[in-house]
Amino acid sequence: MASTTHHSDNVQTAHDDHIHELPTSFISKYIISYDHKVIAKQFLWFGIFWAFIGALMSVMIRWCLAAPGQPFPIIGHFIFPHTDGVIPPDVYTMLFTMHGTIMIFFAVTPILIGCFGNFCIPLLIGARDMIFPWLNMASFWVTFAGGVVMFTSLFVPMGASAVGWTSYPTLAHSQWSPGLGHTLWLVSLFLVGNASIMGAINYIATIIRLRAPGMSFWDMPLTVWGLFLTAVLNALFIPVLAAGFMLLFLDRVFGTQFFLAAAISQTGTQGDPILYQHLFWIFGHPEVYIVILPAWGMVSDLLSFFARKPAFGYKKTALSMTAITVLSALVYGHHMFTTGLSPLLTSAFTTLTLLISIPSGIFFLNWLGTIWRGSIRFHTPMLFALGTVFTFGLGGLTGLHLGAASTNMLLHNTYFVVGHFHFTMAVAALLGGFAATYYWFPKMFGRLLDERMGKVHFWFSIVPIVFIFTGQMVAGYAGMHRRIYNPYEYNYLQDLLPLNQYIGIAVAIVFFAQFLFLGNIIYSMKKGKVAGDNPWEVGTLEWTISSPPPHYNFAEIPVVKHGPHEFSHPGRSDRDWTSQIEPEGVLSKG
Amino acid sequence: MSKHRQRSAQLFALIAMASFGMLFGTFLLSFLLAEARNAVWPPIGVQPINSVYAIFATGIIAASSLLYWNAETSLYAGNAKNARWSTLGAWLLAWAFIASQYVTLGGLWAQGQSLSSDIYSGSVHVLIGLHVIHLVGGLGGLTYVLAKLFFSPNTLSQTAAQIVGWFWHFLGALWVLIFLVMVL
Amino acid sequence: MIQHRTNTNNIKKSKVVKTLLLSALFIGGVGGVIGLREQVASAQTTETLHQISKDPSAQTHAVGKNPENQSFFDRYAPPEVISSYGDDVEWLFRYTSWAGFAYFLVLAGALGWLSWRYRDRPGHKAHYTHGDAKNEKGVTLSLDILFFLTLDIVLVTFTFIHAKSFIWKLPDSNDPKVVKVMVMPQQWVWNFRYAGEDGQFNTADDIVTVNELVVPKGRQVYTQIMSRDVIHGFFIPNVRLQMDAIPGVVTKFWFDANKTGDYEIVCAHLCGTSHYKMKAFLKVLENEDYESWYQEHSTWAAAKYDPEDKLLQWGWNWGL
Repeated sequence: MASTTHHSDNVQTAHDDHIHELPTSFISKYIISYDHKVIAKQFLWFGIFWAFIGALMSVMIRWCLAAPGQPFPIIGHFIFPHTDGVIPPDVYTMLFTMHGTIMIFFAVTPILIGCFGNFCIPLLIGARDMIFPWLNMASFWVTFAGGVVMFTSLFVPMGASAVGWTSYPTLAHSQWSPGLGHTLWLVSLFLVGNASIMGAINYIATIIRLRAPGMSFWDMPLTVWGLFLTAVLNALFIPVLAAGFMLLFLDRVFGTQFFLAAAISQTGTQGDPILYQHLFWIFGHPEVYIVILPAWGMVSDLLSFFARKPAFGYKKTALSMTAITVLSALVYGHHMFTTGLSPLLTSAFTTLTLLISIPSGIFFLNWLGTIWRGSIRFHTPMLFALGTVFTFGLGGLTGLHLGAASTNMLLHNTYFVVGHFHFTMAVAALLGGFAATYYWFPKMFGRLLDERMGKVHFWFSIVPIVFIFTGQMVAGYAGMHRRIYNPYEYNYLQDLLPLNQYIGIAVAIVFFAQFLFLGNIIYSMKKGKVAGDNPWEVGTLEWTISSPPPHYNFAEIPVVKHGPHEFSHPGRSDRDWTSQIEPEGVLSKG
Repeated sequence: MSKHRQRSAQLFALIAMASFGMLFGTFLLSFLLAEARNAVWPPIGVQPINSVYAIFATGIIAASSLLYWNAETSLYAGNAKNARWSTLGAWLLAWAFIASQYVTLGGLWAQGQSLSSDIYSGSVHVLIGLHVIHLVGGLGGLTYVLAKLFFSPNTLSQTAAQIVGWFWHFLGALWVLIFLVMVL
Repeated sequence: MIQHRTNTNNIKKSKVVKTLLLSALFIGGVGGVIGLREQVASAQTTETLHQISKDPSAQTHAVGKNPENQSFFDRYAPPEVISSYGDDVEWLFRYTSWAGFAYFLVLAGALGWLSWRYRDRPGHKAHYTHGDAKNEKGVTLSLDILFFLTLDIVLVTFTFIHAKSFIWKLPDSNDPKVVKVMVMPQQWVWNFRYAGEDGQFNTADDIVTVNELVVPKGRQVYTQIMSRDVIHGFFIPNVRLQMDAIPGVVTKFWFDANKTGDYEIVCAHLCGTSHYKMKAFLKVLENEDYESWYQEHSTWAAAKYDPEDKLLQWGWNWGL
């Protein structure tokens, strides 16, 4: 090409003189910002807002199951005046649909991937910003637009989407779900999906191109690995979802029959409702890995940081996460065992699904190996990291029941599935998100979150949560199927009322405990203990600069000399951690 | 443009093309599955698209890609004049392609077939329609290169020309796949 | 920088006291919650259930377990198995649960013990290793293999065995002992069609029932299932397996029942607003009772057959 520079292909030196001016107006600083740190915070507030709405919906759902026929406390009479405050059955179907949709696409994804992906990637790899800052800004505002559309859908005349977050035809067709609710739902998620792809392109390109000199892929914190693999899955599989949604949208709005079968379509040609399920789950299974991979990466790092020991089996952990990423689309059929799949497909999906548990086992053991013989500091981020390990273990083991076709055909669409996916996808991701927040909050805001409140938040979250979802698995095994407004219609489920009541109490406890967290954030942002550059005494690159960092992050692009987990090195006597930029000689004896 | 920006832009293009590829792959798969599921395809009473039009369209877009490739080679060799006219040719052929798609779909419309009339016509509309929509994006890129070449050639970076070309060839290759799936 | 407290005996003691106090508080709290709930619930439960269960058939078909004097396990156990393969599925579920639970205990125990044993304290240093030593890799690899053999392989093996021995082993349609039933759920009822005495489906003597599936004890019931509108889930908890009902696609499923009585059939796939009360009953009769029911109803259906009744004329080619 025409380039005549004599630089090595060291992109950072090419970027050395590129320090952008500090934005000055309110709009350019906080609204239309190209700074990844500001965009991260935008995603954080966005995610917290929606997480609250999603959580409130879950409280309402559990209320119906714990106190059937009773008016919802405090706000019930305002929202449901026509039924004296009692949540009606049709609203119930909207509640669980929107709860799932909101939590996955508007809470966990924006927080773990939008916020922490944006905040951490440039800082941890030693870059000044994402490689495409405009694209980054756009990805937030497109997500926001999706949020506006979804919010609007809650107030349309025939109500919000009520077909389950999985949106299966033919229930999702206009004939059985008329009105704007589900159509707007499809539009909203199309927007959010596009934003995710934009973000994915940014993350992948940034990690490939903007790592500081000396940082190979094997010197990256595992947090970055997790975010990288998530981005790859996003880039490849959201388009598959988009395709499914587009076809469903056409069916709803333009009268096509892609998912309508001959028996009920007008023209005698045979569409296929099951095709939708294939398309949805080819995305859907990678999606669950998209949600958890950032948390896996972060936990792998946090365990090392707070045990003051290198991450055990770093390469194997990174490769296991990669293996799972590669295999993720091949196991999707385990969501469809009851649809009459052929014997060949059933066997193949069972086998592959059980195989994918092997790499998870590898990094689980590596996590234990990391804290083994460590010197563990139980600060709040560490508590949450350990909590993630605990709950993901519990959830992951129950995945085995669901991966084998035979037991799957017993447990499909029961609360066993609900308990399983909440543990793995919701709890582990949520706890990972909390761990990340407590850990990086000081870097974001320059102040520490209150430790004591953090610990109270931890215990008052994890104990009830474990109870809630274990209880749900018990209910599922007892035969309670899911997405039902009133299980006590069935004689064989009437004995489950006490269980559902206990779960309801636990839900209330967890819900209110989160206000501790919110209060902690609001208070500590301005009044928390000043953090300093490196409160956790960790060697990764973000802790070599001030808290919060200047808008350009690094005055000089760092040159990386070590991996991210060089703790308690025997060749070093002055302290138990080593920054990634310290000279090599610091680790030699004498 | 520095080598860094060049590599970054190329990476952007590659990942974006992977995403688009998955999108179209999904639609092609759906079409094939619909075909496999129905014993008679197109269904009784439904006319297939005119394969002559489709072959013609394929020829147009292939020629367009060839011309643009020629333009790129000329650009790198310093032959600005050839680059200009080849790009213009590719650009005109792009419009011709869009017209040919309109004609192809028009052939279906003349027989009362539309997006919603039956699943075969619906699938064809989706494949052709979605491809054309993305092609319009590619056309935007071609227009950019064309305008630069004609009005301020010194500000056109080779990377921009290259990436527009990649995307254009990608759309052409996609069309070949769509054509094969629809006609065979 | 986070301050670490230096160790003194006082601080150590205060930590123990704190832990004990918190545990007592916790246990007390849990006990309080349970006690409170029991108080409220025993008064409320019967009342609540009486209010909400307005379905009269719920009273006449008393299939629930006796709520008095139940142990925890009785209360939360699934309904009894009545199919010949239900126990096999149960066995696999329980094996997976126990083995999984054992691994979970190991994990939880390891987390707890490692957290305590290797907690940060003055004079204690971490051991520097990247986990690349031969013995370290050997231990993790062995544990992985153990997990694989005791769980994954067992699950895959038994799934194949189950699949071959009952899931895919559909009954012979030509065997007169096999009871053939077409199942057509719609929003929000279950339609069932029997071939009638002529043995042919879609003829005048077909027995069509709504929300009532009558079957004989001990004989295979071969169902073909297709939905009239949206996807439903055909699930009889006492049988232990389920199959989806899809519009336009026929799915096949068989079961049997080795005990007479009434059992609930539920819809296990979201199908709209009243999905939650889309209930049907499986009535298992002694063989002679079933045969007389069948004959009686088939004759009656043939006599009452009305070709103008379009709603009644649903069905498909049974095929093989």
